[in-house]
Amino acid sequence: MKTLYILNNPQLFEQCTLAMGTQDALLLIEDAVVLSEQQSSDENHFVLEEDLIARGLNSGSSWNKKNYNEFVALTLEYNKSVSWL
Amino acid sequence: MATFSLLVTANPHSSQGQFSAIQFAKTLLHQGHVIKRVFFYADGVLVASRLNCPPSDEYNLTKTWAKLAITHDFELTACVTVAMKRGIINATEADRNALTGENIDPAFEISGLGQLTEAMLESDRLVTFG
Repeated sequence: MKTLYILNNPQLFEQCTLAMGTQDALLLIEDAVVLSEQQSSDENHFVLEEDLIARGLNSGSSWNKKNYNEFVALTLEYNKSVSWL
Repeated sequence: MATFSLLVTANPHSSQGQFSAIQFAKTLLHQGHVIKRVFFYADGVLVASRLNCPPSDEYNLTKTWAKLAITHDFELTACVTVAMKRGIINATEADRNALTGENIDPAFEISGLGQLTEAMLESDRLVTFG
């Protein structure tokens, strides 16, 4: 069972990643996209491109960027999604 | 083609979640998937009021949801308990509670948490925006 964790609150990064298993993935959205500038990336770490652009943060980050089309695809690729609120 | 339901708990006046949910919904519909139901819970129900009057140069979330749901034939359901607590009322509940009027947008309905459970059971994916 692979789970996609969706995080929108940058303050909950540690809690959220602690709960994740090795098969799971993390997608940063909304205000949590700033974490892509602060935390090291991983092959299962993604960041929502539209929200990065909206905050002027689109350059430099080594995180794997996903647009909304790919966001929808991720929710189907993984068995379920958990929005960590 | 997959069937999605969305759970929206984000406050329409103070967070981005409703916008994210609408963008996600538009994208999945564009890809040829379908939505069974969008369930509004917690502060998310505030979007169901037909009396929401944002300034004309701001995005009208209530009308956007309504238009999307009518065009693509899916349900917009607000949880009755949290809706009533926040003054989002339909005609039945107004009557039952001796209130002078209702304010639910006609594209939305008020129902119980069972509708969320049913949406989860009858959809391939549930995605939450809070």
